[in-house]
Amino acid sequence: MIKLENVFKTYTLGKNTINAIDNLSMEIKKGEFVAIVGPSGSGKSTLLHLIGGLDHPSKGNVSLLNITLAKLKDSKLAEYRNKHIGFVFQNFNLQPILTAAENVALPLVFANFGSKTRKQKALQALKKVGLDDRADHKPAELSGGESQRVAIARALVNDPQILIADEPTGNLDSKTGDKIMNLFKKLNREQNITVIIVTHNMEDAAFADRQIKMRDGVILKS
Amino acid sequence: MKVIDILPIAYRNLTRRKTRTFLTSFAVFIGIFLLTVMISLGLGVRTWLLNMITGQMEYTRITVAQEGTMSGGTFSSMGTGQGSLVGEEELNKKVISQTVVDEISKFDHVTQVQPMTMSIPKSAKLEGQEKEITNIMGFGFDVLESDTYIKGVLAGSMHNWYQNKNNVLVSQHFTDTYQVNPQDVIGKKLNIRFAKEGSGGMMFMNNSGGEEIVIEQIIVAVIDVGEDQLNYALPLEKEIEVKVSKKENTTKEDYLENTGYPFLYVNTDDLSNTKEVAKKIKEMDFDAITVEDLIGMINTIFIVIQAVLAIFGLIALFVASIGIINTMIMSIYERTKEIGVMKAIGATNANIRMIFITEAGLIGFLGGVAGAFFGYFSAYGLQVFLNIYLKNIGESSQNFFTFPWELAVGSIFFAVLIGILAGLYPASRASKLDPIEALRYE
Repeated sequence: MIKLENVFKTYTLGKNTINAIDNLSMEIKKGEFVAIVGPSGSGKSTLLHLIGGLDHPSKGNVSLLNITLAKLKDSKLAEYRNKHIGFVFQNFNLQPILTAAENVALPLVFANFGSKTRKQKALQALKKVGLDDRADHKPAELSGGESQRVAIARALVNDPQILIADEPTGNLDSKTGDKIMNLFKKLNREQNITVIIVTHNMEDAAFADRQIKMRDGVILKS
Repeated sequence: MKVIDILPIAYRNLTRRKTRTFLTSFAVFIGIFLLTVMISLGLGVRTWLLNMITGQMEYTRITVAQEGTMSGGTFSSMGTGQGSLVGEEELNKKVISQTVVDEISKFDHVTQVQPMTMSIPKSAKLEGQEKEITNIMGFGFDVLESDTYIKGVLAGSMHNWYQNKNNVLVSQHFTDTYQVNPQDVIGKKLNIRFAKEGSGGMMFMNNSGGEEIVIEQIIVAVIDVGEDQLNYALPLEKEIEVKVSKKENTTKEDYLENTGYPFLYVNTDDLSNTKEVAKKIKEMDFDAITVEDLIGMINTIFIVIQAVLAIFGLIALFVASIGIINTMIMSIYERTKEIGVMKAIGATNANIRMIFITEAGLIGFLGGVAGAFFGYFSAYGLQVFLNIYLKNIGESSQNFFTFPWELAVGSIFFAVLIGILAGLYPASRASKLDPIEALRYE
């Protein structure tokens, strides 16, 4: 389903070139729950951005659902992210001016859904994360765990095949963090969504079917 | 993504920084306010002027004067027909002699040629009144009776008034000056004193020395001439008689050939023929102005005036657009991360651009609506105050207020356009942000 072949991501810092991703090849199958672990600077976030279609590889090939991402124009790439990928961030990144339901519905605005469908789908997604009773609350009125669940609902609203999460428990206490990880596990099991999380928390990584350990842009162990 | 979906989001984004949004659109408000008030005032004064002029002129009428005396749509140098302001002979221009009058009368489509003279006497004295009034002005003009120039007859009758050359009409200005009722002056005698030319009695000078001509007329009617300055009107024949007797060694025939009339009214049978007749008269080296020409000249003048006034508004709007650009750029810095998130969840560059352009347009819209609204009431208020002032100084009230809905709608659209244009650059900057950089931005 997700395939990376001899991928390089090179950054130039002054005279030095750094390979954030160094000749990396790997595959993730449909329905897998994968945790990418490693110290900071190991290239795990860069890998996540490449899979998520937010970044282009310097060299090599990233393909997803048999689509070669490098060939897509920016607008097509945006559409790809919108339809197939759900992003969850460490800081939740909800829009403070919008209610929970409106935040969840935001990807649908870009997908040109009508307001009625948007509302309906947003409530469904909120139900999946158990927050349909908080639909009209603003992010400021939600706890950290609730905010992250709203963010997960936003990631789910367009029925993506892949859920990508960058340190999703990084801003939560361990108890709430566990709840979030359980939610990922549940979505993975019940809805067969491919889940890829980046974390340096080994407890979180333990929820995954497979752990990919990274260091200096290469996979140490998969 | 549809605009209708962005609008509520854009609106809420603007309410996040209420003061900033208010101040930014306040600049737009000032620009639109100035623009609408200026244009409204320009339109209003123009309409008023057009009404005033066309209201006292026959549409099928051509005003003929000596060449060069009616340039620029003003009657400023028309003279008085006394040859005292501008020596007509000295100018070596063709005079409107009786021959000319007869010639024009024979033109096709010309129904009537009405010579007209003006005179400024030394003074006038009403029977039974001690007071002599000065600085007055009169016409020699026969067809007043049926003319739109006359707004109404306040007393007496104008019927065939000019057939007796000892008759005189007086205007409401005259009765106002004497503080008498129009009804009370009918049938009374009016003595008008003229200075003889070359005897020190130049116009506007009322020194008692020098020879004088005094005529005695009977007031037959009091007429309402609206805003015009006319005090009395004599039958044309009497006016000419006075003018002839003011000069030494001249006969009526000589006078009419050598000095002629200061101007003529030429009436035509139809509006569509006035242009043609006017052209023919111009070919005879006279000035010939039709009502259409006059309207055209007034419009041209007002386009220039309005353009100058509008430039002030435009400068204000230019400054406002700089404010919008500044606000939008600041907003992008604050919301960089948000832009990254939106891109991650599927917003295209075009979507991001649209969001920021909508916000900028909305700032313009808010300022525009407020500007048009207050512009309307200020223009209206100005009108009210002006009329209170006019009333206090004893003038009749005027309608300067014009605020067509097109002005309101147009100015709001314009404000939105200014906002959108100002938003283009910041929006393009926002849309080009790298999503990863933007997500990392704290």
